[in-house]
Amino acid sequence: MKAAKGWAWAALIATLGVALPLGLQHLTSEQAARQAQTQQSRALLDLLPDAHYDNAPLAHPLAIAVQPLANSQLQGGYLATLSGHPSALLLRLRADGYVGPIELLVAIDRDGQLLGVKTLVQSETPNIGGLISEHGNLWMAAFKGHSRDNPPPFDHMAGATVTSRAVTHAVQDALRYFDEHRSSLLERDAHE
Amino acid sequence: MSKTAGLAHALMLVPLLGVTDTLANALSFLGVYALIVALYAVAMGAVRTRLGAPARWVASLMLAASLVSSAQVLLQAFALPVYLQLSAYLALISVQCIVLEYSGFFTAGQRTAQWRLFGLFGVLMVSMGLLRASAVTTLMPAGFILLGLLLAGYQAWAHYSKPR
Repeated sequence: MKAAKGWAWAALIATLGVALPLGLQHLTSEQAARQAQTQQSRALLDLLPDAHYDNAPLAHPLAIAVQPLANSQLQGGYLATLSGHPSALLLRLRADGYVGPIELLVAIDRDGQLLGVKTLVQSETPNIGGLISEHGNLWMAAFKGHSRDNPPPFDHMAGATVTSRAVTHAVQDALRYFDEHRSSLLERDAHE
Repeated sequence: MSKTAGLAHALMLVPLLGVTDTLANALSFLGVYALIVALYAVAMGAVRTRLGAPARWVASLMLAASLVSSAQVLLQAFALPVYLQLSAYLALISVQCIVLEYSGFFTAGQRTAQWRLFGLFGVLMVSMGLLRASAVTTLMPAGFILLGLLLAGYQAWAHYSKPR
């Protein structure tokens, strides 16, 4: 008799145990989705200093067609604005690395200076080329402040010539694209 | 120390090394851990005597899994950055609950053992979190060495403070 009662308790606990997380998940699903979105955009936008923009750049992608550049492929872009004026541009590029494709997000301010370069996707050799996606990597940070007229004086990352070259060339592509399309890129949104 | 208590200690080694790379991570893991184990102890305490041995393991398993899943759901909704840091280690808390249950850890008369285990874990988590704040020691091997030194220090202290 006691055993049967025990199993009834166990069944009750099992039922409640399944119901509790499911119920919580149902109740918090909207909140969780919002959090995930915030997290995602924060991860992408940490290239831009907070004082540089007050819009939600990712919600307004630029109408750039996917197109090949000299050494990489332009995948798209986003415009950051500050009180309605364009302040910076984020370009998304894909280059061929040593192992596979490398996707980069390049932030350029309105004067054509690099604000930063961030690796979104890569499958390079861990601890060699793979260092490009490490947070706070010095080699990647050295791009900041350079522009087309003031190109970054780069050595290659040790042991990762192909990866380094792919990244450097893609960044140069981004700067060149920005220079050539500066007015249309920055003005389009200003009129909207 | 029984075999299962040793297993319970060994299970703690993983979060001890995995989530102590920053003090904030260590403290949030410790908080979630304490909350889940306390809830588990209360809920299980209410039904333990009504359950025979096999039913007790089913209940224990379901309860531990349910509490950890609920904690994960809540963290995802309200503290996603914390969840992303801790996610892999949270599930271990449920395993730990079950091992502790199996070793009779939650039954009456285990107060001293309970305080010793949680005290040791808490102190180690916080000191690891504090000591690993500098750049080099955030790496996993350094964590191991540091933990070894802390434990050796504790052993030495326990050895020499024993009245002879």
